[in-house]
Amino acid sequence: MSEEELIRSCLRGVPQSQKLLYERFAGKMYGVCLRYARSSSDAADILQEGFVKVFTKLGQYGFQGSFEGWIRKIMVNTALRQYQRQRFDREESGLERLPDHPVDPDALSLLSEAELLKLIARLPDGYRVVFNLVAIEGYSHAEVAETLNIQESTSRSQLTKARRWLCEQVETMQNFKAVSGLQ
Amino acid sequence: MNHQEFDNQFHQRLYHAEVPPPPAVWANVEEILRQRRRKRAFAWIFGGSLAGASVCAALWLFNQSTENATASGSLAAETTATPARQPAPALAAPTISEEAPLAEVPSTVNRQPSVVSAKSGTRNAGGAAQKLGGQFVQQPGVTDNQPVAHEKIAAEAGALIAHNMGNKAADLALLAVKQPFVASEGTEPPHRFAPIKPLWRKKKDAKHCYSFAQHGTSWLFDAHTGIARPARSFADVQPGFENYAAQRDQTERFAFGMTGGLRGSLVWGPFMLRTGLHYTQFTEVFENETVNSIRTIIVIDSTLVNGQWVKTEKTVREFGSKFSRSYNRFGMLDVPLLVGAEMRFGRGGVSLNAGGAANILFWKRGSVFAPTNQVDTPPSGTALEPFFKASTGFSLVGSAQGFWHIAPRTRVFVEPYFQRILKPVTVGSYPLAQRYNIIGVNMGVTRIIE
Repeated sequence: MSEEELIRSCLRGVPQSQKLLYERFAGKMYGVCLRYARSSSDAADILQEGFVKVFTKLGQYGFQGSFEGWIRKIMVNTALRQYQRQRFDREESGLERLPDHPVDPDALSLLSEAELLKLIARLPDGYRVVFNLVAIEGYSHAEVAETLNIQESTSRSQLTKARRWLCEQVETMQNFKAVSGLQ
Repeated sequence: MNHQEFDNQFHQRLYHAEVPPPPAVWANVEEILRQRRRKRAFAWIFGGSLAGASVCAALWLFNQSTENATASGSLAAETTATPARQPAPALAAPTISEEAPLAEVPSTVNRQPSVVSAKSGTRNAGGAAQKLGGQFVQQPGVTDNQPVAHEKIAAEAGALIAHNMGNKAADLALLAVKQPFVASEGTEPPHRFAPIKPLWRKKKDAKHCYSFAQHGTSWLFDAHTGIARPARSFADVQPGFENYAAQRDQTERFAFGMTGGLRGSLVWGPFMLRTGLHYTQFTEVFENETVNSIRTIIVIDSTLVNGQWVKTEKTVREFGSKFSRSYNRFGMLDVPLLVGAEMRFGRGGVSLNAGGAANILFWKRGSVFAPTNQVDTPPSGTALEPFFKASTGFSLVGSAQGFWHIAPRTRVFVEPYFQRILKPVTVGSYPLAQRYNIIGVNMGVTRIIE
C-alpha cells in the first residue's frame, strides 16, 4: 500500500491502516521522542500523545510536503509542549568555566546510536531541547527563541553548554571503554 | 573537531535513528482512538436523535394541524356545493339537453349554462358532451354502449373546456372526478386548501391527552437526564485564610456537569406530590503552575581516579516551574420531595414544583491547594480525606416543567431547576465552607399510570 493510499485509508478511520501507519513511522518517531525526553517512559508518553494527534489531525495534512516531516513536526511540538509543561533547569556550578574539550573525531563514531541517545537524555532539560532543535533538527537560534519564548542569547548559551557537557561525557565514556578494554 | 562537525555527527547519527517503541504505546493509542470514536458516535447519535425527534415532532404537529384543516376543507366543499345540487332532477333524469338530447348520460353537462356534473357509472348511451358557446357538442370517438370510466370522460371534458374556457373550468371539471358535487358559475368554488389552524389549540385534544378529571388520582413516572451548572461559593472563611480562598478560586474552574434520575408523582387534579432518585455529577478543573519549584537529585556515579574506580556522589539541584492539572469530580445522590401544581393547555402545559431533597454529596477524586499552599490530593476513602467528606444533608429544590403529550399517556418534558445544597462539602475543621448551588435543565419522558 502506497503512503497516500495508507493516509486516505486512515482518514476513513480504518483501524488496520492506522496500525500499519503507526508501525511504519513509530520507530523513527520514538527515536525523535527519546532525544527530547528525560526518560524512556516520558518518550513513550510523547509518542503516544503525538500519534493520537497524528490520527485526529490527519485531515489537516494536505498531501503537500513530506508526510514523515509532518509527523516529525507533530512529535517535536508535542515534546516541546511537555517540556514547557514541566520545565526544569539544571544548575551545576562551575560548568561555564570548563574549557572546550578537544574531542577525538573518532570518539563519537565509536559510540552507538543508543549510547548517543542516552548521552542526550542525560543532558539538562534546557540544554537538551536547544541542542536537539539546533544541532539535530537544524532550527536557527531565532526560531528556537520564538518557539521556546526565550532570548536568542539564552539559546546560544545553552547550546554551548550542551556541547561542553556532551564533550565531557564522551571523554568519560572513552576513558571508561579504554580502562574496561571495550571498543 | 569543531562545533559544526560535532553537531553534524549527532545529526547524521540520530536524525534518522530508529528505536523500537514499547508495545504498550500502540495499545494505548488504539484505546484512545476507540474511545474518541465512541464519543463521536455517541455525539452524532445523540445530536441526530435530537434533530430527528425535533423534525418528527414538527412534522407531526404540522400534520395534526393539516388534518384538522382538511376536515374543515371537506366540510366547506360540501357546504359550498349544496346549493348547486338543487337541480337534482337533472342528475336523476338522464336527458339533460334541449338542443342536443342525449340519452342516459351519467356524466353530463347540465342544461344550465356552465354547470358541470359527474357521477360514477358507465356511459351506455349518447356520448360525452360539452357546452361550448351555448351549444352541446357530441364528443367524437366515443361510441354508445361502451363502458368508459367516468373519470376519463370528465378529464376529457375538462381538457376541452380548458381549451375553450380557461383553466378555471378545467379545474372544476377535474375536481368533479374526485368529489361528486355540482358547481355552477354563480357558486364560489370550494377552497382547495383551507387556512391552517394555529398550532396551539386551547381545546383539549381527546385523542392525545389523558383526562385527569375522569381518572381522579393518577401516577406519573418519569426518567430524565440533563446538564447542570454548579455555582461554588466559599463561606465562613476563617481569618487569615482569605488569600487561600482567593488562590483556590484562581486555580480552579468549572468544567461540566450532568444529571439523571427517575421520579414518580402522585397527581390529584392539578396538584401533585413528587419523589424519586436523582444523581448529579460535576467536574472542576484544578490547574496550577508552581514557578519556584526546586528538585534535588543525588547522582551516584563512578569516576576513574589514578586508574582506580571511585564511587562519587553528586547533588544536583533543579529549579523551574512545574505544571499540574487535575479534574476534580463531585457526585451527589438525592431523594427529592416536591409539591407541584400543573396547568394544562390542550396537549401541553406547565408545572411548578418546589420542595426539599435529602442528599449525599461526595468528592470523587482530584487535587486542590491545601491550606499550607501545597497541592494536595485527598486519597479515596471517606475516612482519610482531609478536607472533603461524603456527607448527608438537605437541599432546597425548585423547578418549572414544560410538557407536551405525544400520546394520551406519554409526555416529553423540559425542566429547568435550581437546587441549593445547604450543607458544605468540606469538613468542619477546614478553614472555609465550600458550598454549591446547582442550576440545570432536565429533559425526559413521563408515563401516566392510573
